[in-house]
Amino acid sequence: MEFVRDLKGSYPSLRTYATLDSFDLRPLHASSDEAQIQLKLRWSSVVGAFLDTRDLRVVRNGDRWGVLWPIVKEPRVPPQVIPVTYLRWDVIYRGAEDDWGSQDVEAPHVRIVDMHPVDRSGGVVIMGELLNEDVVPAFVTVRATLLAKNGSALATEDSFDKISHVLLPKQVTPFLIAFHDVALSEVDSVHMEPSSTLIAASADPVIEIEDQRLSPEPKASLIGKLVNQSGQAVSVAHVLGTFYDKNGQLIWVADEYVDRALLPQIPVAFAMSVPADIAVKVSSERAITTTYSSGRFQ
Amino acid sequence: MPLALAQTGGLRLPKTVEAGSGFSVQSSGSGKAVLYIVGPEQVLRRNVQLGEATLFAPGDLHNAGHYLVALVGESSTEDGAFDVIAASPPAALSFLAKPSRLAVNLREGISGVVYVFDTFQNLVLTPAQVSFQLSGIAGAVQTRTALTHNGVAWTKMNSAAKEGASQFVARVGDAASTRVIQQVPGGPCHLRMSAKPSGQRLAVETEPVRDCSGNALPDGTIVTFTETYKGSESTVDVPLKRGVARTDMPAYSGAKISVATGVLIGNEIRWEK
Repeated sequence: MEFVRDLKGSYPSLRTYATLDSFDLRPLHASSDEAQIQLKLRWSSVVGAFLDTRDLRVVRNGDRWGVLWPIVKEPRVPPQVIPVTYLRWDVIYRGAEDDWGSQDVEAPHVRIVDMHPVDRSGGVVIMGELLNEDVVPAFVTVRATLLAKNGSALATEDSFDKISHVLLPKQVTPFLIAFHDVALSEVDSVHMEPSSTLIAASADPVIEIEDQRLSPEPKASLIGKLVNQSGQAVSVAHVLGTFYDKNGQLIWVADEYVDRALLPQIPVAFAMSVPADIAVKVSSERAITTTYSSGRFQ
Repeated sequence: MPLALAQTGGLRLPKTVEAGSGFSVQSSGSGKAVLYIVGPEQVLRRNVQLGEATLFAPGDLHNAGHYLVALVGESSTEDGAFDVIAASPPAALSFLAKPSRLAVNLREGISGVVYVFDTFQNLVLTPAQVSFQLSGIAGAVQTRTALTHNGVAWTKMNSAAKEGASQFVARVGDAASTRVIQQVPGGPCHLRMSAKPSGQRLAVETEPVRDCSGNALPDGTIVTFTETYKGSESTVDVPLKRGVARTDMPAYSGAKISVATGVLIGNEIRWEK
């Protein structure tokens, strides 16, 4: 039972909904009676693959070899009632039978406050930040169209999951849009289309991102811990990192999904990789999280 | 109500008919015929005795537009046409008020467009005076008038300095339509926070956050606290609750804590034990 909980998580999380795609075994050390094996489990999930690496001790018992599995125990939260009083927004939209002149709820006003197209690996990457300047929550997306000198569209892409789609009032999200098959030299201008829809949302849960720092090369990454300050277990947390150079200019956007549930007040570590050539230019960074809780719409 | 008569051969038709009014068609000759009146979304057919007037009751024709008339007799056919115009007075308005929510203190930020209809939902093309009025809990009542052109009139209004719902009313004669415009606080103007020990942690709390007109920003607005200490950083996005944002952060002596909301940066605190 503990083995299953270790692999799939004690609470609903990304692990619960993932399937094992493949695994690798690499011997680290071996003798006639025992061995150290590094096991790499590649899990596949709806938000992409994630890797789980375990160092296993394998012991010979007669003519059989047994594995001593190092159980990673998830903390348990004692039964309790945690009152949560953060605001929640619900929306009633206009109905089909309303007069055509009747008002509908106004879409939230959002604004791109920063945008940079850069050349990256022979393609174009557009990074920026989007602000919800309204007083209501918004579901946001950003679409970009690269235009050639003659005004024709070279390519259109959107930010997919390199953005926090749910923006509460005055919240800012980074976004990144990648064009793999277009060179920056071909681009004359970029047409940006931020869009927003009013949605039901909750201001809960509040997630603190503790001890963020850029871990240096060779495998540069932004590391830190997520602390759920609210009362509900968070099933999936998506961390987005925005990286700035010494002039305060946005130079990279990265993201990472956390595969373990966030329980109230229990820190969960995350590590988000950053390209080495970018990491050396980073002077400051900002991280935000979006969350999904199983059994709750928002 | 027939306004004038048009004569086509022996067929005497009104030039125009007000929607919903009764009218008559006079034919000449003798014998029997069938009278057809064909117009927008409506066709009338009457068996008539030539030489007599054929009466149409009020309400028989109610869609404004151009109507064709054909009188088909045993040996000949006559045709003609007349217009049905919107009835007076205007009876209904379609009022488009945009946006339904906007920030306070925006000059000409609210637009109102009115389409004037008669009782049969025909667009009234004759000019009509429309009065617009925007009134709310705070601020002076704004009034504008506009004349319809081809059935449409429009205006622009300023949003008030104080937040709240305003009634936006358009009126033509006895016909009126009301929309509600929600005026909400603008961007935050000042942001200040303070910190105090809370057990092993540090409690940080903003002062009430207001826009430049003094309106309190609504609950749910996100305020970001950032603490930097020895090269590492902690951040929390906290929604305003009862006008203020508060949270706990690690209590490191020498840490710098800053606060921001949207694109506004507030004060910075250096925490010393």
